[in-house]
Amino acid sequence: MEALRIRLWKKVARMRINDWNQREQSRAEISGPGGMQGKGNAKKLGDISTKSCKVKPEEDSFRSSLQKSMVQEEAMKAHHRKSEEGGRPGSQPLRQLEREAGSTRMENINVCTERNAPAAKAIPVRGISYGECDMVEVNVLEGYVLKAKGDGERMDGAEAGWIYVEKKTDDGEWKAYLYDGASSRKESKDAMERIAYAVASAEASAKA
Amino acid sequence: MLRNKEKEAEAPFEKYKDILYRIAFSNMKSKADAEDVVQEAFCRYLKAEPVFDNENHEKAWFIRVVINICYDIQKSAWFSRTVAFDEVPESEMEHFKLPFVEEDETLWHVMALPAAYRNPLYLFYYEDYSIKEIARIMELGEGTVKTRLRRGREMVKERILYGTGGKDGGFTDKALEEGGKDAD
Repeated sequence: MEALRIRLWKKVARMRINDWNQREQSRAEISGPGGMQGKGNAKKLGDISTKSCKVKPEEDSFRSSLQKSMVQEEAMKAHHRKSEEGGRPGSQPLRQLEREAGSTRMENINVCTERNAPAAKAIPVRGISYGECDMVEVNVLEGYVLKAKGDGERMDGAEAGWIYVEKKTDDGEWKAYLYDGASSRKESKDAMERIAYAVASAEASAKA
Repeated sequence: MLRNKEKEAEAPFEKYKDILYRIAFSNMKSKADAEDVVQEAFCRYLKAEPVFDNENHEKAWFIRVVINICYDIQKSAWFSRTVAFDEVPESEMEHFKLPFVEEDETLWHVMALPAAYRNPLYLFYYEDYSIKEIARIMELGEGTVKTRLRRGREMVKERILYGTGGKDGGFTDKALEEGGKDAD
């Protein structure tokens, strides 16, 4: 696994160098005087000097990212060596290694491990009356009415079944969703999900 | 003859008396006045002997008549000189019960709105009517109903936020002018 990661980092660094070289080469060709070939100033990895005092911003960013990649690669190698010696392969998470190497590239990428939305599916509006509902929520200030009704038990035998929730708003919009009572949340920001939860818990307590 | 007519009115009376009473109460803010309005509506029914296409048509006709009677009474010189309630008196609140929705403070604020906003809001939120149905009952365009629902909602918000101590119960002149259109 670690070896694979190292190979991946190497590959990324190589791809970046190639990209940068190609870009520089094409720029030199275009800007060459009188259709002449440019100076051939397409830099290679070896040409990049960290001591240069006049650095273009683009060059600078490339250099710093490359340096970071190299530092990361070194850190990976060191870690790999250490884990092989200590007999605990891959015990440190990748994110920690990156942090040690001073990288922030992966910081903004959030992996969603939690459930974001419950099992709710949009269905055609049935237009049920207040009398048929298990729960009605009138919100004049927000301009909507919610009507919720238990919609039968689930096939997998879960305690809370499906909840049909209908919403009509004062701009003439109607929508309806079928919520999975078991996965709807009490503290949800969605009022429809909250009423689904309320109906599901009322149903569950009635059963009990 | 009179007995036969009474029997004719019995079926619709049983069907619609509750909803008609609630609509009349939301307009008149008094149990006694609301009962008078419902009674008057059934008198008009017996007198006019209307023919309806279906039950929805019949119900819409009764609601329209009740709203019109309320407007007529509120327009009368006697009513405006004696008992012009903007808000539902606390003593009357106990005579009003909604069947499926809990009464809350917002309901009383809705009832205190000018007539043109009060009826669409009441029918939409508390009697579960759609915009299309309200437009048909009140003989208005659907766009007008939507506008009144939106403005009425804003007025309720203003009343709750700033209270009723301001001029004309916290309503702007424009709102009062528009709100009185149906009643005039």
